[in-house]
Amino acid sequence: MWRQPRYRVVATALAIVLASLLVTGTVSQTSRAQNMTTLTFLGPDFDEWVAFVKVANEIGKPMGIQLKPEYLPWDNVFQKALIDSKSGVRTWDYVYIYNTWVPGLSAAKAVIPIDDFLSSPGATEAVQPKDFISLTTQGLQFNGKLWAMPMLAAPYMMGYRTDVFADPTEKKAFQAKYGYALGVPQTYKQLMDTAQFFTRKAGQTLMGKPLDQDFYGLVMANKSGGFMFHRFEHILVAFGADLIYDPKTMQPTANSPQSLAAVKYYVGLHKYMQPGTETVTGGGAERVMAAGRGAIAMDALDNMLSVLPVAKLSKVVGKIGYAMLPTQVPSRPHANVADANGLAIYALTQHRAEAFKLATAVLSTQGTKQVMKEYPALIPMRASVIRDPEVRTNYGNVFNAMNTFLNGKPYTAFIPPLKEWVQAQDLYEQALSAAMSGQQTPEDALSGAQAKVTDLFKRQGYIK
Amino acid sequence: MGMKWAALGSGRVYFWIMTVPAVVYVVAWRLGPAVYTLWLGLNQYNIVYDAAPRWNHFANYTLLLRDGALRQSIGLSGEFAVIATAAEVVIGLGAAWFLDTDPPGRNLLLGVFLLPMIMAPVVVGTAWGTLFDRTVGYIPYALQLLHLPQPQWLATPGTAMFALLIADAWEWAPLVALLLFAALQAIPREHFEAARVDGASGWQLFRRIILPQITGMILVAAGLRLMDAFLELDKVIIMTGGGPGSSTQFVSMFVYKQAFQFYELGYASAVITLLLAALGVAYWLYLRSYGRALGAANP
Repeated sequence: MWRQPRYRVVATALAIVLASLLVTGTVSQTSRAQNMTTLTFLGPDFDEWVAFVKVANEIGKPMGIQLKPEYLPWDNVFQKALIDSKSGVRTWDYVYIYNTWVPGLSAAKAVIPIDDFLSSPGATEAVQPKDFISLTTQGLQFNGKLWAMPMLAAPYMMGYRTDVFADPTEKKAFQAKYGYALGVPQTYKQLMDTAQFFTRKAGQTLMGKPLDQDFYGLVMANKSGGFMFHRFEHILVAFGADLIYDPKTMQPTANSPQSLAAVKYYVGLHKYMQPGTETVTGGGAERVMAAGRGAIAMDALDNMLSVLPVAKLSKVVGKIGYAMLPTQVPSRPHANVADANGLAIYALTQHRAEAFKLATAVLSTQGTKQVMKEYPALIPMRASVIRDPEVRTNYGNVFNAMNTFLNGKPYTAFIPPLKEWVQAQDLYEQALSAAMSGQQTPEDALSGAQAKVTDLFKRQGYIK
Repeated sequence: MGMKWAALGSGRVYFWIMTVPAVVYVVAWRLGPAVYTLWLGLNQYNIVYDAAPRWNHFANYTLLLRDGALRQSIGLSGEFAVIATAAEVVIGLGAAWFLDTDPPGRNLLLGVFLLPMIMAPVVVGTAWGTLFDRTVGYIPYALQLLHLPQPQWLATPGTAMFALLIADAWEWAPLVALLLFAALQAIPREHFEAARVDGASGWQLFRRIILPQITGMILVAAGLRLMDAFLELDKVIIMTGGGPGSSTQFVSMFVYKQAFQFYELGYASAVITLLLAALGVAYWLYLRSYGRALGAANP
């Protein structure tokens, strides 16, 4: 029956239709009806990126560009971007990038460096690279190139209850117990004392009034998958340790004396954190602080600013001050690991020019201010935005906190340029978690991490 | 009764037309990936940083023999599988026995009881993860109201494992109950009546009448659950992420991490091959003992 011409005609026609559908479906995402170019964004389900997408669509409309997001849990974005790029998936135009992912994504050639677009004076004019605050954007650089348009800095700071710290009863009791005046902790010893002092059970008093719920000295996020390490790494650096290995010799130093001291300290500090800290992200931890149940939060500034001053979410509006992280080793005052979030252009994008054009427009000075209207907790990475009088007036919290941070001149460490950084970090975090949960002693846990990181480095040929 | 090939005549064309899709499916979607996995297990291949797989002289297999984390994961998976299966068989048997007494609204009860089984494992993990959550979970809240001790459910090794066991038993005990309920229903009622006339107690009824006749089904249910629980992944990812530390890093989580966090597809494939072989042997032993048990139960 296949020999009959009409069947052959029908079959051929069907094949042509199917082939055309396949070709048009994969090659272009330009909508003919609206004459719009559709760009796609792979990013985390965070408020700031929802705001970014909204503003991008507003700014993109007159340009004939629209942006469609695909939101995933934060820690899955890295995996998906890597695997999709290696599998030849051409779906994405933009990929959210976190500073610790830069070495991995750039080594895998999953994203295009922004520098590659700066061949013309017009492009450089649009990006304004000199306007970026280098202390915050350096984390997005690797091998001398900038790998993403900087969007949001996330310096780690302490948010503390001003009313609790100023209370005369508490001041007196603290002085009597520890022999020095209660204040925002300047050293990690003071942080431990303060966290211990304010950890109270329901029924005990705080500021002279009985508590109806437990109150916690320190509120932190310690969920595995990066959240725990991103909080701990500041303490690791503050204690004088390397970030897992010595970049000069490539020797792992996970179990160095400084690293061990930092882990032991963190295990001790864990006793004064809110219960369930091991299962929450920054947003979850800040909800506990916002409920008025913590004295100090140690978190990314934007996490705190997105919850604590927001009246509909917080019971502590107007009662939070922001301060630099404490100091341990004097040569590393207020040690801090640079934390930056950016918008990278996916290596297999089919809309390079449009992607660059929209990114520069949305993350320009004016565009950033527009994003801040949608997400007031945005910590901008452009000096022009921080200096902007409108920002000073309308976003006082952001301005003051950033001013404190920049004027405090913290010792800032940067994630080392290791393409296997995420793996190394995961191995260390697992050891830290084992020590915190009591599954292993800090010594055993770190020895295990040292062996695993050494094995990883040997397999990659960094050491013998 | 088999049909001879020659007797098919012109029907051979239709035979092929009907068969080819199934053969293509099995080869392309089942056999192909399995063979690819076996081959990958013999290669060094980091999907992100290696341009192509390269033969590495059985290095993956040498590594897995001395990989302490893998040994620990296998041990944890075994522990979880045995305890979860035992709990599910006991709960399932109790539920099946209760349903077999024909309580009022039995069909409705059965329907409700089976609900967890038809939920996506990710949903089960999310639901139980939330229930155990120290900040918003009902379980810590209920314990607080009752002034009972409040363990850090997902934050200490023992309680995290226990939480996973509870979630797994909640999800899969209904399957065991369903299978055993069917087996109980198949027992002729005359057996019970005759035993009661002879003065058999409840325990004797269970021990002498029920158990011998449902042993086969218990073995089927336990075997199914044991192998499935050994490879548990979804709830672990959602509820504990393998932690705290590595205390709930079961073998599937270990493979997942190797493949999708470390991108070491070669090593992950070698581990999968090892697991496949081990489970194959276990399945063969299970079928043998199942046959013997059935033989003993029905001489």
